[in-house]
Amino acid sequence: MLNAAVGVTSLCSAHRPGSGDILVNIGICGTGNISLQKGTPVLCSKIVDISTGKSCYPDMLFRHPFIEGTVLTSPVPVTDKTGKQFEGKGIIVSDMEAYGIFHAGSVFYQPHQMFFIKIVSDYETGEQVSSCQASSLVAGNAATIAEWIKTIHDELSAKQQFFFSDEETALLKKASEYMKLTVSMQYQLNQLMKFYKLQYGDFAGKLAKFIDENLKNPCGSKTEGKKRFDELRKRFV
Amino acid sequence: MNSGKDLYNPAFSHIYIEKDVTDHPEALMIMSRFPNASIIEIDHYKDVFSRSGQNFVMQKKSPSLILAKKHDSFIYRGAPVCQDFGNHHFYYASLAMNCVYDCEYCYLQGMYSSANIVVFVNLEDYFIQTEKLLQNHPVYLCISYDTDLLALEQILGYVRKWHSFAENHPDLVIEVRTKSANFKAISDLKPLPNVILAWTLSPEPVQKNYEHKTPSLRQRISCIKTALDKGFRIRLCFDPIIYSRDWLSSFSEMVDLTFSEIPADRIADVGLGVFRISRDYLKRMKKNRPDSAIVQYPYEYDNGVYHYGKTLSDSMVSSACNILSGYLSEENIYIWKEAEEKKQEKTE
Repeated sequence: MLNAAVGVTSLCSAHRPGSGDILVNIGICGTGNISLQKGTPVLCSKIVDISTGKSCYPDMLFRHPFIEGTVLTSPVPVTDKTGKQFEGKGIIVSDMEAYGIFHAGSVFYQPHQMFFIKIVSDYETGEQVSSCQASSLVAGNAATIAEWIKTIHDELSAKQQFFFSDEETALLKKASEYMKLTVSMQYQLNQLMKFYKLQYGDFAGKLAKFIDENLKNPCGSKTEGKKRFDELRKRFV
Repeated sequence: MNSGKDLYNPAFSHIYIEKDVTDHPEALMIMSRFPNASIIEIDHYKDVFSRSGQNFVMQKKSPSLILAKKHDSFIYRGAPVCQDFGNHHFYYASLAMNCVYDCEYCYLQGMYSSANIVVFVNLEDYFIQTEKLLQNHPVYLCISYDTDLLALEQILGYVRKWHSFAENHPDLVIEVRTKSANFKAISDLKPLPNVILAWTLSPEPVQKNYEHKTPSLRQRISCIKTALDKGFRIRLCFDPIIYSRDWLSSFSEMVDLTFSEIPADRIADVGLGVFRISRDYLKRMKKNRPDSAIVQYPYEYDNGVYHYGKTLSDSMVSSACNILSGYLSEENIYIWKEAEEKKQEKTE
């Protein structure tokens, strides 16, 4: 669990994720539920740290083709000998990473950006799962998982952040300099134009006209600049 | 593969339930309404509701239901930013947190870190607390402030239960505020003098552009008409009024439409207020909704509250009041005023 958390932290520190990125933890798991066939993928809606009993919850916003369940993260492989000490309803599986990945991931991702898919590999009897078997179990689900994840990734990536055009940014800079705005007033100007753009659309033409009519030269004083700023505000709100 | 709207789970596809209330009758009743929902047991509602880093706007696309037990603070004193409609003993109860609708200007998105809806199932404790208050004085209690209980009535049935409670406690006046068009869920109830159904109405452009998932103005008006015809006590809330260049004509059209359908003399009273929001809430809202013109408006700030500025706010209230005065007597129009102004009025 610790290694997994360190791995996520290291990766995300090197490649800072954005709002369109997602974190997917795919791995193998054990289960005491023999009705679950080996190779069955379980999408985890609840992650329990078996050592502390603490739980965490990824958001479950998206439709999916998997069964849902709880994953118990243990520092050692869960077998009938280790004892689980967890009473819970529904599908329960066990792994050694999810809780650590969730916590490390929470620093970089929001709960709707994290997905935990565990593929049943054993029945917690202590049987050994070879790396070859593990790869095979994951490979058998790779296409389904990849297709599902891609749709979500496309959706999240499509959400564009608001921005000013280069022309608008240049005009704002000029207006700000000519009106001798303080840092706080520059913030107010940006806020005003952000509102204008959202409400009425691009403002480059209108701001250029204002500058042309009212700011032919830089203001002589901050008082004059403030007066111009009040006029600008009246025109754009 | 799924795309667009179909990508998201339907609302309440997942129900989180505190272990302590898994056998509570209200919880069982609510869960029975969602036979296909995934049920996830939790220790405390805050384990899900108060997680850090949640995305309010994303969660609004597929909100989960969280069933919990309220342990204390069942009834709160009315906040100064809320309209008291002249009631001295003004309280509100937080029976649920969050709303099925998605209004861009709603303070709930600034108040809560999650868009999931928490429902407190131990209604019996709220009733006990209300009875304790009633031993001291009459109580005016708003039960649908941080949520919209009428919109949730088919799921919760809480309005019905409070109606029944109010019927046996004449010193209690309850207000059920809503934007829903769901009167049919309680249309079989007997109208009571101490149960006020309060509809928030907004001009069509505001409803269409900013009040996502809400019924249209016409649907709300039609619903109010039915409730009035049944004999219910009705309040209209034109609050918050949202500024735009053509707000006045939109407001005027809304009022004219409303009173062309609803006889003004049968309305108990009207509440009026322009948009205002606490600094902390707006800060969170700006982060949540970078693309919302309402949220990104260049508000003026003083005393912890963002607003349109005194000149514009006063002018909006005055104009709105003039329009309403054409239909209602001024004594039935309650205008929200800042706490400071209220205090000054009292001293005078």
